[in-house]
Amino acid sequence: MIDIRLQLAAEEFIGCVTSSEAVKEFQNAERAFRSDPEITRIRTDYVSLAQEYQKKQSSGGLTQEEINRIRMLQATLNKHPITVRYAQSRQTMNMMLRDCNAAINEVLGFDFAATAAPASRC
Amino acid sequence: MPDQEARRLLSKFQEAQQTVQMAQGWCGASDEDFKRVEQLREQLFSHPTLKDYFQAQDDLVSMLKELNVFISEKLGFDLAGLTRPAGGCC
Repeated sequence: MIDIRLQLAAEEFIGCVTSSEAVKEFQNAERAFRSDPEITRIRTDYVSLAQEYQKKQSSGGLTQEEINRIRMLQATLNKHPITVRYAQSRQTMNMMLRDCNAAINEVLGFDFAATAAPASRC
Repeated sequence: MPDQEARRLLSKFQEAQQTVQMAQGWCGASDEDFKRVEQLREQLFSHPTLKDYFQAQDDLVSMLKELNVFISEKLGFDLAGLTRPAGGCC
């Protein structure tokens, strides 16, 4: 159980982070990405094609045309303005959060994120 | 006042551990090397100053992990996981 003073400070930090433009923009962009019908259709098509091709690949029956088709779907998804906005907002938010971590580290004298993060799996 | 004996013991252990790790890279670590590291580790954990130090370190890490869970749950993403420096795997 964390100390009450620490909890209050954390609540304040959370409030500042969630009210920042970077996080708000990320949340909006993510919502748009998850709810857009066109994006949903492309993602569904991509997943089903990838599964189908994976089976084909193991038997060596994958054609160049099929490879091009899945690459095109991937490119369409990546170039879509909603995806671009989502990726950019995520990057901006990550940069802002890294700055927050750097500011915390300066006060603590060690890396908060590196110490507190769950063990990563390789 | 720093405990010189504790510091000496800790650096001896770190040195021995590094030597074994390097030797492992080219399969050159002997049973004797491992035994030495193990002995030093035992000495380390039975030293009062170092025992307190490791305990304090564990407590701090646990508290920070708990704090990260608290913050991450409210933010909806893993704050420390997202902002920790990128590290190589293994």
